[in-house]
Amino acid sequence: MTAVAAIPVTTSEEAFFIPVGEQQIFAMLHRPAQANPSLAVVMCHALAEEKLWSHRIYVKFARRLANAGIAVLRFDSRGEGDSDLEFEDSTLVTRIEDTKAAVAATYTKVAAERVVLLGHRFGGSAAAAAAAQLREQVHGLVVWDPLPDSADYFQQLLRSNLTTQMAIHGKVIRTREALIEDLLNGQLIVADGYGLHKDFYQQAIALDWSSDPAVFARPVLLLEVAKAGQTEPSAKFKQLSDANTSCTCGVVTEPPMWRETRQFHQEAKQFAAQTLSWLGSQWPGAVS
Amino acid sequence: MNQQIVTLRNSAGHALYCMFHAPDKVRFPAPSLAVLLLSPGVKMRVAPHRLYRKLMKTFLDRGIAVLRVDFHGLGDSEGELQEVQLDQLYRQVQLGRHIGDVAAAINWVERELGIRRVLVGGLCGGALTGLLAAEFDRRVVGLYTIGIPVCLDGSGQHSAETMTRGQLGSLRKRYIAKLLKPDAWLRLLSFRSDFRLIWRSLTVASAARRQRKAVKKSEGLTPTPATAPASNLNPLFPRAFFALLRAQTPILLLFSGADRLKWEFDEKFAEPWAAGLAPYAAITQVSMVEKANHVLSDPAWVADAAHQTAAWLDRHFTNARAT
Repeated sequence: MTAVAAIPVTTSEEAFFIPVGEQQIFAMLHRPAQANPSLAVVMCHALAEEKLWSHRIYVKFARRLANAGIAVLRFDSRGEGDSDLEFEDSTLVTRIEDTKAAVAATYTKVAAERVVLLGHRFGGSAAAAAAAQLREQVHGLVVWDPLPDSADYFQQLLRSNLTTQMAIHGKVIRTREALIEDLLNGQLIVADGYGLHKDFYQQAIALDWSSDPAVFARPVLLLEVAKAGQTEPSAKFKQLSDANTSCTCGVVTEPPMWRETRQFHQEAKQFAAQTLSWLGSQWPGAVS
Repeated sequence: MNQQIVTLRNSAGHALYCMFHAPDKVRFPAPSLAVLLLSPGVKMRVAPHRLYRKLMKTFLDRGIAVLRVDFHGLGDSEGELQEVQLDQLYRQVQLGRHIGDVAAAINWVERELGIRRVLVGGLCGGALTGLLAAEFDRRVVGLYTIGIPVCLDGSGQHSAETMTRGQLGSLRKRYIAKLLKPDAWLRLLSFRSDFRLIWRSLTVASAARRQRKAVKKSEGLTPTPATAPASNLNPLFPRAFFALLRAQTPILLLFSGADRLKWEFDEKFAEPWAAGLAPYAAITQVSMVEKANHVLSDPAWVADAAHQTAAWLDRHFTNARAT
């Protein structure tokens, strides 16, 4: 057994709710030891069950950042975790609103000079869209395992619906294509226990954050997970870094910590190391 | 919804982040019963697809307060866990790693809410932790379980040695069906098949017959098992289970129809200990959610579980709102 490095909790943590309209979202603030951190990171989680599998990685990375002198705010989007709304009532729009509320709460709570958004997978898409809207309020963007194609991503999500069909009917009676058709006709489609609906789906597949110049109006770090033998960013991300001088693309080797494997994923070492290194290079005085 | 973030500390000083939900204050101004829904595996206090949030309405509607608990080293809570493999982590949970966290949560409920009677449990590891914690805490008046495991994970044994008869029977049908498939023969002849598993699945029926004969020979109606316990049975399970029964603690055992855990419960606990369990049939309810998977990921399965939960609560805890 490999020992997992213990991260001392010398910082303080505060769980609280952030109001968003008539609802509220659950948030956890990690304060560094020093009173006035100049940099804060707001972390946007992955979607649905991917959030739960990768949750501890977020917790431990937040504590690591706090130990490095950076304030961190993690939050649950509405429809997920301990935040209001049912999942089927949440959309991409609510996720962007929640991210904006989390950024505002961060400025209020820690009076940081700069806020960086960090998102994982679909959380990265929501973070990018929020960054574009928040403009100068967001000074940097980090996306772990960015999803360049939301339509393809939703197709993958629907795989669990097929498994459920097998359990109930002994066979697949609605293919993924048919499920998408049902979704577009207004039916709620359940994947992994989460109800997907038309508005969310349509908003998500319409989102093309990588083509939005407003996303790249700040330093951006995109960390792609290497496929077999891959050492260089894939063409899509290479084009992004070529077209945007603010954009840095990297490739990391990480296990699929966002889904069930035999491992208990507590750390994403390469994501963490490259992110910390990049933050330090962008804002040298902010990272201790 | 009346919810409150609760940060409590276990005996090691770790902050445990929990979520408390009070029933409607007008209908239930002074709840006398609470349920602790405990973190299942690594899925923290919300459980897969927020299952605990979906089920808690059933409790709140009956005046039962709800506390959803993150264990140390999991969810948002403090603490470090050293395991790198999930089966090793599950094994530690199954050996009672978090029962101190449950005690801390019950202490909080009693101290802050004045509630001295609690139900404990949840899904899978949460259910088992509830059982193990209840053995040592007389404030627990009911055990609420969904898919409770009776075996230990991470034993390092070959899977064929620990599979139930139900699992092996299912496998046997699949192997027989494969006899007509050329791909399967190719796999077999290229030595890529699991021969030990195939052999055991094909011979399990005769083994079961021999076992039944052995059971007939055994004597007595005591909590001593009629057959030797399975090698991967959690040794803490029978002890804790019977301790609760002796204390007349009602137990709900909800299982999913497509989950191996029901087979394991039957073959490795209920059948060997059938005689010992018989006197407690009135307080031991075993129910099924047909065709469901382990985490009840279809809304109909959740609704069925909620319905059966309601019936169990109404049967055993109708006085929750009055006392």
